[in-house]
Amino acid sequence: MSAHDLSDLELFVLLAVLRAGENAYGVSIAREIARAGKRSVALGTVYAVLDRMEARGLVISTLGEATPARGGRSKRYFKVTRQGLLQVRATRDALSSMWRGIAQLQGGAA
Amino acid sequence: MRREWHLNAVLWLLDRAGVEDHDCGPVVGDLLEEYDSGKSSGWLWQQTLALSASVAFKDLRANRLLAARAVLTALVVIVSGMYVRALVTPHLLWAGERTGFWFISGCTLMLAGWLVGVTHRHHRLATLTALVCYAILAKTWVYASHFRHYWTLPGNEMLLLRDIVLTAICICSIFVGALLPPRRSGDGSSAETPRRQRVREGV
Repeated sequence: MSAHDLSDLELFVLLAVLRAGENAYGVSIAREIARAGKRSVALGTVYAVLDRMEARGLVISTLGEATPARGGRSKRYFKVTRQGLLQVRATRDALSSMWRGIAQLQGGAA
Repeated sequence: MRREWHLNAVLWLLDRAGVEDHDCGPVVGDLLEEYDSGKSSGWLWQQTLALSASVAFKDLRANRLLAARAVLTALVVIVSGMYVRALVTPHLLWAGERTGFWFISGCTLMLAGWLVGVTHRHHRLATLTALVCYAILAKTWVYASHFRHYWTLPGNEMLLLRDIVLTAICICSIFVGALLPPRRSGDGSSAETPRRQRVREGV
């Protein structure tokens, strides 16, 4: 595995950012992972992964509005960069290629 | 009322630990938003501890020398405490029998935590984590090397368990000492709760 491959959690977070669209911030990303990915991830972990991916140029973030419900703290919105999209596609292709042709996993029976 | 108490306690802890110094304002905002939307207090504490651990280890990796300096600073207090302990209770050979031993140990570790908290305000979590890791390793080594003594003492089958519990309490006193001093001399606005903010803004 090369240094630029995505880990399982990084892939989940990137896909959740894409699914959340314009409203991709910590809460909505964690909710997408819980709803679609059926996995519970702590908010601190989501941000740690996003920080790491931002340093690698896979996502970018901007600060948004502050609301009273947030104690006056801003939201941090995330967007997947072109490089991030390429990485997601490459991971999907690699995984699809691994899935193909496994006789035990065909036909729905485990 | 209870929810407000939990919220205030969490915000106090995050403020004293200096979590928001590490670009964590948006995460804390997310925590408050989710809690405001009905998440349980257990969820809030779980998320807060996970966030604190994540920030602590990230900061620790980035400031290893500072963490080493903090442990050395604490060692000065700990070694001084050992001398005081030996002066106060010189007549007893076996440490486990002494109430004074545990009291002085707890106070020494609390003082060490306080000193680290005061001298490393901007990296409090990282230095505190380093100190606690050191204390756990040192105590584990002490117990491992004295393990057989516990089984040679007559009628003291529960002594090891009791000493481990008392040691854990002493190590917890490091946290108490380190979180006692305020992090900054400002108005503490980072610890503002949503309710206080609504009142201030007249919403």
